[in-house]
Amino acid sequence: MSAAAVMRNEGRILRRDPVPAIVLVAMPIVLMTLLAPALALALAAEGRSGTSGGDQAVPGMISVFTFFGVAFVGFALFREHGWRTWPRLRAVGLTPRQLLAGKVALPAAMLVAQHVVLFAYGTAFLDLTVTGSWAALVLVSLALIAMVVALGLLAAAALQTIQQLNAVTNLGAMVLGGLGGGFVPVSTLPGWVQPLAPASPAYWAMRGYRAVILDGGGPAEVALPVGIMVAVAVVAAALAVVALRDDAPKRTWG
Amino acid sequence: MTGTGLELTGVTKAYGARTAVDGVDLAVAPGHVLALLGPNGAGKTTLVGVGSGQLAPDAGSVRVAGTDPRGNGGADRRLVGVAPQDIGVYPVLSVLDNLRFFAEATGRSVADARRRAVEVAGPLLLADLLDRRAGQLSGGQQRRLHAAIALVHQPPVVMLDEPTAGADPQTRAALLDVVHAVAAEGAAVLYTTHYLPEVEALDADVALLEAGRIIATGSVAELVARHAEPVLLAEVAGPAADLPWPVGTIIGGSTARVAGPDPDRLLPDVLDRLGPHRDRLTRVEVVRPSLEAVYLALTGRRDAEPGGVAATPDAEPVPGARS
Repeated sequence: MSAAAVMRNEGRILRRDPVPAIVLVAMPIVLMTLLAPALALALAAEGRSGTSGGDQAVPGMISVFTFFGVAFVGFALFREHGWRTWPRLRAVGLTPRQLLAGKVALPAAMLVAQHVVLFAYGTAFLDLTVTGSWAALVLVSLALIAMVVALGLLAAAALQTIQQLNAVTNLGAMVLGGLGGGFVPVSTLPGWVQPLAPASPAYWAMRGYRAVILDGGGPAEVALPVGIMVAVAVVAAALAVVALRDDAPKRTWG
Repeated sequence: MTGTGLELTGVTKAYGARTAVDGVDLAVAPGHVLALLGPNGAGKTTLVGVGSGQLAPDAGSVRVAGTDPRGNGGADRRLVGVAPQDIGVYPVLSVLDNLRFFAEATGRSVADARRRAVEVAGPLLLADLLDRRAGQLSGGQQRRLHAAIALVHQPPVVMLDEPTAGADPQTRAALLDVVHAVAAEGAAVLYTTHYLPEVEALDADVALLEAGRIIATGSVAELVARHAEPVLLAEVAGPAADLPWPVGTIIGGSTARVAGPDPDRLLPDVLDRLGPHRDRLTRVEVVRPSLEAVYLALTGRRDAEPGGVAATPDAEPVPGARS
């Protein structure tokens, strides 16, 4: 009940300021549209002639921009400190479980919406073709979203300042997204970088997407990347619960 | 509103090596207001934090409406409506949305929360501002919203930490009226303030906290009777030491300070003593004892103790304070 109240409140805040949510969808649309022609060449260089650039650009931008969800989750908690409403949330008796459930529900829903819109756009305008199972594609997306939401919780629990949150989000999205093959296929990265790619969470998302989109895979083919992303999500969530101290000070702008 | 109010027993809380609250016993019965007074840094805010279940005491116990506010996974903290010292509202949300969220968060239905939000807004002069964003409110309006949030779920115990700090007279009057009303409905109210006239306006009981310890408790009348007495301040033409003042009068140049238990008898008694010299009086003022006199006397006396802040050797005596 109280978690639902927190979720409704998050919705009211989002309605008052929807710009970040719009950017979460609009920016990857712009980038995937600009990058698709070049990425068609990159796929051809991998020996995948006949595929569209959207087959790399859409899952790639999704893998990169989903990671900005870390900031959405983290900021949902940090801003309570900036607005000095955190003590009030504690005072009304919200348990950590209720609070976290209410806080992650909306960012998770936003990321689901982001994936739906971006895959729909890619299919309609960038010749994205899913040769494998759509169910497997959904599995990969859900695992990716779960992982990002859990990493957002961990960031909110472990970090002390909103500047740290911004830095971690940018690092996760841009650097790890690039390392994981979000911008260009891993096979086209410098040779010394390629062995490092599996260290990036985005690598496992891209591996799952490519298995479904390019290689015609189904649930069995995405089991490993989905399993790894779920495992990361579980570990991150567990660490977040351990690290989250509801009386720990956070520095924001206030 | 029901329950057994607020009970703190032997509460101690330290931050590292610094003890902020030391063995405090405090009780506020339902329907009563207890004003918690004390200088900055005395431990008032820490005590509010412990009493509301937001801080765990290092020792002692806290009971709110008969239960530990930190129990039940923290859910029982909702038994306390607390307005912290710093204003905490959602600036991007309307007044109505701020209020109804905090009502919903304590378990009220959406419809009931909205009804209650409108209900609590009225007495705090927020009824015409329900659709305005909190960030667009004036400081006083935000202060009233901040207090309204503490009351919106009708808790049996209310803690207001300096709710009128920086508030305009309109806000102050509205808040005091609401505190009266909330107590009349049966809530136990703990109210911290530096504005001592508010305490007298609330007809509140008083607990005086200093250096983490309660140094005096009682009603305003009891504290005044115990720790302060009326004085007559007189100025005369020429040296006051020449005149036959009552025993115990403090003389300084052309002024005299005469203390006595009955403010109505001070002037007649002094006039009788002065006799024909009474025409040398140029100014007479009877200062009745007040809570402020008690406060300054007690905290000033403590400051002069070893380990405390040294008292100014030539400090003026506090009018009304019993030395």
